[in-house]
Amino acid sequence: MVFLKRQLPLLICFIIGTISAVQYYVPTHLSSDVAEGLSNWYIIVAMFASLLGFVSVGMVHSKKIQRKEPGWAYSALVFLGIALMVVLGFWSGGKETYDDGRISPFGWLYNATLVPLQSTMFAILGFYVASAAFRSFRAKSFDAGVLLVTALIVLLGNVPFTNYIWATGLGIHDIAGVKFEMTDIVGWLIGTPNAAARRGVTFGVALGAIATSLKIIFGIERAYLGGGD
Amino acid sequence: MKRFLWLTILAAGTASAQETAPPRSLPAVEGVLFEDVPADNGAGVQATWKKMPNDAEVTYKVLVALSEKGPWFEGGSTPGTESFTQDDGLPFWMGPPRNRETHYLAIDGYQDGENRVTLQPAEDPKKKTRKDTPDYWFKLVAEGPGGRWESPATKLRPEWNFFNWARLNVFIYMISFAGIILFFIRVARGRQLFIRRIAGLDAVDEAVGRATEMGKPIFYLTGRNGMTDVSTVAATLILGEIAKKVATYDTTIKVPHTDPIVMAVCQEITRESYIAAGRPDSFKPESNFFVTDDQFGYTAAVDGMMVREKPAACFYMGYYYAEALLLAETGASTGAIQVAGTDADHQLPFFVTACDYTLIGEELYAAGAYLSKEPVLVGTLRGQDVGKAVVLAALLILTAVATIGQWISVGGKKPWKWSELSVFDFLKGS
Repeated sequence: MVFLKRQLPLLICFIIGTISAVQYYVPTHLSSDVAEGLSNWYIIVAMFASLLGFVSVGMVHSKKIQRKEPGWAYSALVFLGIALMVVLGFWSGGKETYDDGRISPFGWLYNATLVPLQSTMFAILGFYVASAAFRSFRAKSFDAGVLLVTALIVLLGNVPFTNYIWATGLGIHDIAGVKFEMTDIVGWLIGTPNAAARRGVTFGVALGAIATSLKIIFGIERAYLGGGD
Repeated sequence: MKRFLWLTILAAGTASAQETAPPRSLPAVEGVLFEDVPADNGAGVQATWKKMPNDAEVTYKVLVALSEKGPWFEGGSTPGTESFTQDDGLPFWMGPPRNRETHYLAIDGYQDGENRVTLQPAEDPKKKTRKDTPDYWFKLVAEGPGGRWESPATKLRPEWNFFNWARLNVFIYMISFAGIILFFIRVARGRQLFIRRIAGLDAVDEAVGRATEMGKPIFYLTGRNGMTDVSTVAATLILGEIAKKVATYDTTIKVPHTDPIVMAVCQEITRESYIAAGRPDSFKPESNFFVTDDQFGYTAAVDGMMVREKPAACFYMGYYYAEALLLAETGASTGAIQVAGTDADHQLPFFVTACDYTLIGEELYAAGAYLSKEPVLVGTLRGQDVGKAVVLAALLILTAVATIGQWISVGGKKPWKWSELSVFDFLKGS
């Protein structure tokens, strides 16, 4: 039992992890075929696991309905939505559009409900960005002040009218023969200090990911199997 | 007379179709060489030839065929003023010598009508395995105002390679890095290593304590990616440590999931954490539950739960996309103490803005070791730091070397100006 629960998963992890790491350095078709095979296995496992997800959704919402918890009607709507999509999916032969170009009931429900809802959620992001920016741009410290000034320059530099004022109104085109317009300042801010900071983070992330992968491949980190040793 | 004219047109058409007529008006291109691309999957051929005086007017094409007699298909083309060995994109220890005197063109397929056909090994129909790459024929064609020139056809069989030498540097670094990590694990077994404080992880106790006092749940999110993503693995490891504290304080944790596999793993991790904390009876399997794999459906559901249940603490670990700010801002509006940890550099500013503590980049990977304080795992942290120091030193040295090299090359034609240094290219609009 211990072998099945601990040693076998560790062995599988070591073999698959090593193959995946070596595969990166081996350019043959055999190597890419192995990678493709592993990827297909993952997809198959994920498909079976999606049943787990479906069962989990069913249990959570059926309990809410049974116990008449606050908002249980929304749980009923979940089942109604699932049933409606399944029925219309079968009715439409699983097609969003028919061969003659007409949209099927299944496709209509998808386009008329899910797509607008997704777009709405994404659109809310614009307002959240504004509120988050308002909070972070309060110049309480020197660092926050630098952030505020930099952000203002980038914001203004992306507005065509500001560029027009800079070049035409103020007549600034170059300093000591070097091209120096608003867009150049923005380009420098994004391309130099910002890119440098992001690359620093990327280096750290890459090393952290390699270290975590090594810990898992060599069986040093076993918590993902379910807790301690 | 009419019959003779038709024969002439037909003959001209046939010659054109076979592309075999070699007009003599363009000078012969020198040094034409077709070679197998080193360290590839057997689907690449590189052509090199000498720069010619009339290059400004000439277009070069590499033609590919499956037999010497054709039909010939275009594999690639370049104007005579471009594509030199200097631009081949290979690392310095591979490929032909870099200069602007030799043209270079890599071919990985050819155009057959509207289809791009890749040079590749044929498949054995019985065994369904790949066989050797078949023979291909190549020739270089120069076309310009003076006419057309063709090189003789060259037979070549691109070959597979078992090691990609272009990734030799990555391989050396990975082996060295693995050695450093294993060395520090050994060191950590013998003595206690110092780890710098990470404020976001020290706040875990505060967050769990707050949830216990308020009698409100903790929300823990593992990100949007599946178990194939290392950041998700790191998020599940942190969950294990936080779940132990949650179990010890007998408070409530809720882990809404967007991936069923991650849910199954986290369920097991949480169960083991409760057992490790000596409270197996308090474990509730439904603390980990699947919501949906739809990005904004998941976000809306979790936001709704946050607004209704007003959690005491929210943890956002793993990889996030556009939903990062939607989740973190909603969490902030409920007054929860928020700790985020992500390696998604695009989302970091949003988390820094909306959360109380943020684990930046590799701190996410360090968190499991930091919270568990296990010597073996702490050793890997020290190894990571040494690896970073090596990268930093290499960056500093190579930046200095590149700057000095640039300085010397510009200084050769004195008097030079600061603006001539390539570091100012961005100001010149290049």
